Amino acid sequence: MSKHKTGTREEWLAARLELLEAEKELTRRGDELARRRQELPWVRVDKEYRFETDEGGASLADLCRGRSQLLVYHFMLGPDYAAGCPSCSTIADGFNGFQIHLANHDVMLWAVSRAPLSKLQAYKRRLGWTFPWASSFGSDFNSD
Amino acid sequence: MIDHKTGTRKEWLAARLELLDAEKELTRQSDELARRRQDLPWVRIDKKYSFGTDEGSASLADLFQGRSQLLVYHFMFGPDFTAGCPTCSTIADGFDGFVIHLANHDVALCAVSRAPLAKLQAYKRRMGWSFPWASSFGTDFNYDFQVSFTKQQQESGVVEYNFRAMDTASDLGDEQARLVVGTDAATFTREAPGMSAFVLEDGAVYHTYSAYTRGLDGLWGMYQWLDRAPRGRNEQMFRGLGDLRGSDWYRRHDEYDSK
Repeated sequence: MSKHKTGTREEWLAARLELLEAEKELTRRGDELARRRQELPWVRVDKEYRFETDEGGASLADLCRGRSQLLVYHFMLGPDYAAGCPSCSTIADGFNGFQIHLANHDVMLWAVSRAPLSKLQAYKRRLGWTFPWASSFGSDFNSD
Repeated sequence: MIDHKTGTRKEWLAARLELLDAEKELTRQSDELARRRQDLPWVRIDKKYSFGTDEGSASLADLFQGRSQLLVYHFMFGPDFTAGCPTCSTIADGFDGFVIHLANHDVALCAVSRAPLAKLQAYKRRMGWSFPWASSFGTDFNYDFQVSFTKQQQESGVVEYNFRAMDTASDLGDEQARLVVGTDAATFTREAPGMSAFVLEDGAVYHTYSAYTRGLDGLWGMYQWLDRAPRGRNEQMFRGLGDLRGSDWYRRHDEYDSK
């Protein structure tokens, strides 16, 4: 016999419906916060950053690749790391599969890390990923 | 000059800090709901289901593959579809990458659809996925968890979905349905998305949780990122069955022009 509380389908449904109301409330609050994020003032970036990418040197604007929006995942891979951060890697395991949808919806999703490009490329090959990953090595981008 | 409000870093930071408190509150509320999900009573499943899998025919207990917890993604792929639902495919594009982490943490994540196994296998190859995917063809499984509806239920005008009676009217036309899954709209909307959770204890399987429609948002990685993008989700929705809303900007990942 299970130590966890068990019940009939009717008992479960009653508890589930109560929880559903709380979940819907959470969804509404989440939508409201997403709306508030869009209302934040935009801060113009005048500093020139240089990144290294598979296609060569790039500015921050270049990372947009023709899209109007850029999302950067700050992936922990410092110049002295032998491999990327395992936590960041589990996050990347998710977005690696869907960044192509964002790229077709006016949003470029990039990972940016401080290790030199060749380290990022080797780790990306090892993990079988395809998302764009830029090196900010030698720039202030990560510190800023 | 741009239309959007701009500001100094200091002004941005003040607004961001205020939002951060609201975000933290949301996280706490979300953690509390995750705890409440675990408190739901477990309902023992005595019905015998038989699924088709890559390893042959399997019971519900077999889908756990030695783990004590099973999460099922109810992937919309009816027997007459020529390809899996594009919306479900964008969700699967996310979990395909992290299913292995769950499998190494006592949780088997498995997709289940009503199409025969051969169709699921062919589509999975086309998409390059590796997560386990079982066919519930010929069983009551999808109907019992309210992610498939019979023709009779549909023609009555009302089906039980997301824990309530929902009218079956939809804005989806036959032409659009044929384009995306190769069936008429009625056949397409006899399948619906969802997820269900099960636990295996002392040889018995219990149902613990199910969620539908926006209850799946948290599993849908691309929307979590879009909710943080400057222009948000940025989409027009059409009405699917009941509360379901579809969006027409995304395609299957192999259907975009490469650029």
